Amino acid sequence: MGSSSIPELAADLAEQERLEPILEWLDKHPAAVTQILDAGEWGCLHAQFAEILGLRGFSEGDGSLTPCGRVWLAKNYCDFEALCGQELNQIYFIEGICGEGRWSIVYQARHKLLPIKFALKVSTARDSVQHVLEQTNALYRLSCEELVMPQDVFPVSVPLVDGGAVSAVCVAFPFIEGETIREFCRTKRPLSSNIVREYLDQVGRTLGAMHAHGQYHGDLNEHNILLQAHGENFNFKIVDLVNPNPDLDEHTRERIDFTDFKENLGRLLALMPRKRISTQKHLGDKLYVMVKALFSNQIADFASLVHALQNDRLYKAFERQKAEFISAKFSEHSSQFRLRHEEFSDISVARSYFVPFVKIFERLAKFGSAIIEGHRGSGKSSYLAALAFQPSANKHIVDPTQKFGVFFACRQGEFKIFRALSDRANRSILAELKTLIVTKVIRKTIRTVRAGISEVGAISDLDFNRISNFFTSHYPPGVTINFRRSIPESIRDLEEALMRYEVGLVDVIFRKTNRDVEAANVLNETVLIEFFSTLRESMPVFATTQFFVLFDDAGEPNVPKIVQKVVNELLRASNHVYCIKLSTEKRSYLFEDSDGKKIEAPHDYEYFDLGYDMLIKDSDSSARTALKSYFEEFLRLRLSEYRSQSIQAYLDSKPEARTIETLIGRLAGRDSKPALYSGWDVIWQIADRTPRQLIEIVEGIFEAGGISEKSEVAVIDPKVQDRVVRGYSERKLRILRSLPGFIKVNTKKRPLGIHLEEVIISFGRYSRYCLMNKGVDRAERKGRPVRKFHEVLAIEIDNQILQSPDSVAVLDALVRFAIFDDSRRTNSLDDGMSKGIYVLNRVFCPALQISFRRVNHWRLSGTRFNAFLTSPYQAVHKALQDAQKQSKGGEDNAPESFLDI
Amino acid sequence: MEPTPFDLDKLDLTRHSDDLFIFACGFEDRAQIIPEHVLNGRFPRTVVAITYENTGNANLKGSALLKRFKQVCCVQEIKFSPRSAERFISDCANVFDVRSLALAKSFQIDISAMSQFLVMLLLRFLRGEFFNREFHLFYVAAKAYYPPTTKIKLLLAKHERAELRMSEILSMDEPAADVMFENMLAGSFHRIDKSCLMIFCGYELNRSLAAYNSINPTRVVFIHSVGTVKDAEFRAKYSKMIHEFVGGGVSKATETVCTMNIGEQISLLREYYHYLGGDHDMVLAPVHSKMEAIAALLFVEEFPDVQVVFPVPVSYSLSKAAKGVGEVYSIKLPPIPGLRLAREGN
Repeated sequence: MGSSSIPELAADLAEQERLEPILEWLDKHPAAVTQILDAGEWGCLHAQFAEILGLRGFSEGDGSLTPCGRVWLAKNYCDFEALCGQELNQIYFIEGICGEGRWSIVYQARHKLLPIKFALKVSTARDSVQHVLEQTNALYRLSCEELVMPQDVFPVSVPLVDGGAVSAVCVAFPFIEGETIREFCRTKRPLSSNIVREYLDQVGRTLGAMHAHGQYHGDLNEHNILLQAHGENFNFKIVDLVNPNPDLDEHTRERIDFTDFKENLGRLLALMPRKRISTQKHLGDKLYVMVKALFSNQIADFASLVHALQNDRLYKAFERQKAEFISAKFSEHSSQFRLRHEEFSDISVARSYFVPFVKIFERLAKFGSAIIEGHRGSGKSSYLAALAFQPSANKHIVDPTQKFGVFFACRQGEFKIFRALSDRANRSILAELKTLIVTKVIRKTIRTVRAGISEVGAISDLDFNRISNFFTSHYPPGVTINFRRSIPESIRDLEEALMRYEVGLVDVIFRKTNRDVEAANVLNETVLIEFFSTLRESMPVFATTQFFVLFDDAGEPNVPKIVQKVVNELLRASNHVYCIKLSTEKRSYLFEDSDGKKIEAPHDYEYFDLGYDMLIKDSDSSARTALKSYFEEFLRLRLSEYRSQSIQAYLDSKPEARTIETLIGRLAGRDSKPALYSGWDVIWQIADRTPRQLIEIVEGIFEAGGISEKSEVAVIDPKVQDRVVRGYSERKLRILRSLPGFIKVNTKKRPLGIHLEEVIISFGRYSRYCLMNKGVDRAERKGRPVRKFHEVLAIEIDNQILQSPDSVAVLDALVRFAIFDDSRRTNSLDDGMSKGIYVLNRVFCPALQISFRRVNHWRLSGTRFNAFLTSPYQAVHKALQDAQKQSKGGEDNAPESFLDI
Repeated sequence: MEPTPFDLDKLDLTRHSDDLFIFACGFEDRAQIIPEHVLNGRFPRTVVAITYENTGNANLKGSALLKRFKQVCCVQEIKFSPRSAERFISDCANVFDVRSLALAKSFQIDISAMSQFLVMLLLRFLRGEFFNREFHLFYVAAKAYYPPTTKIKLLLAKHERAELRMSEILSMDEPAADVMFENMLAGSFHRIDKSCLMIFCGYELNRSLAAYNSINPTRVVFIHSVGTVKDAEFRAKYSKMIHEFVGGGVSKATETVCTMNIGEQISLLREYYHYLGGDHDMVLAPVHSKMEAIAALLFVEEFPDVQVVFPVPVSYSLSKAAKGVGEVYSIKLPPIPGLRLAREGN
């Protein structure tokens, strides 16, 4: 074992200093060296040196020369250079010294007749070839290809510096090209996890076999393991076998080999990339638990290591502990009502709850780029996730062999850091960014494919060469495939190599390093097409597959505008192998590319507005029934464990008109009884086409009404329903305060959430005033006048020009956070012009105590709308003053019907 | 590594001529203690002051302190704003590029007036650039923190009577202005769609909600802490109570640690990383104590793929600032794990 630590090195130095007098004495008496080596004892030396020599292990108690002492003496007094240029054993021509070990000198030699190179290891530790032959024969029985086996053993005579000679043993090994671990670690970095896996597998198993047969290496240092690397293919060769291991028992020899083995592993681990990835993540859990067990002495010898490599015992134990940890620490949501697909730890459950609005999903599932806009909770993510390939799901909503979806959950922060680049975007940065995004897509596809292979089992007909050629053409040498491993492991290595490349590229983009990524090709949409085509050609299962790259929640701030521009360029590339579909909240996505050119629908992509696609234009239309049925079906699945799967059985469903008319009348103060937002017909409309809102309201009502899976079927008290609906509505209103960000209004910066809340409350005040004061009595029914209420739920803009950037920002925020819906326009009855309308999210109606029906519009000029957006309190105050004046003057707006949802 | 009570009279920043003193010009009472002590004693050769931008008249104390330092020694000033973190790092690179600063053998840093974001940014930068130096931190605790205990007890009682509304809690603190990321703390995301957010919870629901909403995680770990102040248990209970409003239907875990035990906090984070790091993208939001920001820093140095997010409020209100001066602590940071190799390698 070489001296590796500083204390050992210091001890060595101390030894040399103390041995200095002995060497001085021997220098003066050269004949004594020959005498000692020939006699095998230190007898001629001065007695005062005996103790030091004994302490160093160079002398036995009886003064005889130990193998260590013999080597020390030979190294100091042999003329090893003298053998260069000579022939040994009449076969080997020595070309020069190529290495020096603790016990030996290694020469590079060539065969006298054949064009074969040899490494001749000359050891002065012993002079008998018999022991070496015994070891060699035992090693041959192992037949391990990682061992570089001795080819020949013969005695040699090494001349001493001052005349005479010392007998030694020469072992001839085939000369192996390659780098030692030490050399490799100096030049190749960062290293992939594959090298660790191969090291454990090749070196660990070989040493395990040796030890099992009572054979030991004895000097497994960083010079004695050669590494032949071809891309991600690593071949380890263990050299310098048949070490003398003088006078050590088996246990010590075993321990020495194992310690050396771990030291070399430590050297490799130290070169793992650490900048943006932990060792655990870099190695993967399976390999990490193995490495951890090695360093914590849970694996204490090669036999245990081989056992662990064979049966995955450690990893299975880790998986079990992990499951126990998660179950002990995390409380899972017990309700059946969950919606967000992120909330399901079991993707199969999420899939079973997925109920698409067929009209939308059929279009969305078709091949072709698409942008889906919708409110929070409208189901954007669920639609995209349904298209994604999820290997662990027991049900595929689309056939993955035809439509293979690769999913990016952008909200989790993968792209957010690029926001800092927005101020200094230039051609070079945009090109690098595109290379990065393309690499991300390729890496994630590779990962998804690997996960799929792991689930379905081995695929034997993968054309590695074709895939390898793609990466060789477009990526630096480090990004390549290891042909030696199994398919999933090779793909995993490739994925890791791409990850390292990606991390390097991020640093290049931020101009912090300047490594090979910069010299690499710029990757673009053409390369992406080539990649997916390669995948089709390489894996028969993908022969006719079309690939869907899915970016969920790709609006700001999750995906900064600079990245959106690059994604748009990929989206616009018309082709037959891949398409991009992305979801975003309204007004948070930039519809242009890096050159400022707009992307156009339907030319470049298909546009989906989930709110608009669920609009109903007529109160009695079949579309209304279809939408209502859709939500009933949506809840039916979640009620599968309940006594009744019909939501109407729990929430009551009186004839719609009667319930709603009664509610509106009470809201308008026509009836002294309390207005109750209850009943299925009211509640599904309050949810305003947003499944998440519907689920949250229904879940709250069930909880407040004490309804569980085992409860008898009964209509929940309308008062309870009302309390929950109002509470939910108020909470939705108040929670706006927690929206992060500022907004600039009338030169002042205001908290965004507070300003939006003011807008809603102001609108609610106006709407409530209209409901209570601006109705019109119409024809009498049963002797009583019937009042047509002025139900204001929308603002109609006379001209769409917003005067100030402030009001544009406010309107953007109102639409983006689903406070007002801008999905539709209307044709004015006055001038026949098409005008924009903004409909308040109905979920706020209970908190504002207003009607949730869009019967009338609050008509505003552009100037007034501008004032309303920037100073809502003041604008509404003025509007109410005007309305009161009009009312006193006898004017009133005739009610118009815009009944829809 | 653990914070140890420190006798201010023993503070001598001139023991080594190359020591460097860094402090932030804050407005809280405790922000003045260490800088005042330095001013009244022998001050080191090199002083770096961090000033907050756009504080207006709210930070008169900090401005006065800086002025006094400028009168007696050479002070390098770096401006900080949470919204321009990248510029702050660039300014740091310029300032610390000066030879005299770069040669400093140890960094003495008073973090009492620094926000958690600033603590992490500054230390991540310095420990990245000057990885073989010693880092001594000083921290002055306050006597009383916002919200006052009386208010907390009132709200807890209301909660027990089921009368507490979320809006009331939200109005207790400033709304979150933004959720900040910085490249140095951005980590790296590897997996498909699973993430775990670990929040060091404080008493500001707005900030926790902002962190949660910005990530939309699959799992959330709420880490509450029990401090050294009076009624610390009540405060921890309050923290737990307000975080019931965070998280919707996601899988949640709740932990409690000691605020002043950095080792315990790191061990806890390590445990979660050990079991979840393999198939979750881990995100950390240190929104409470500065000690937790240090724990987060040391954790991120060990697990650099962890992303750190900082929800910052729209403003820092004087009325909600910590009051009085409590115990003074010193913390010696441990060396960076494997950083030298990483720098050579990457």
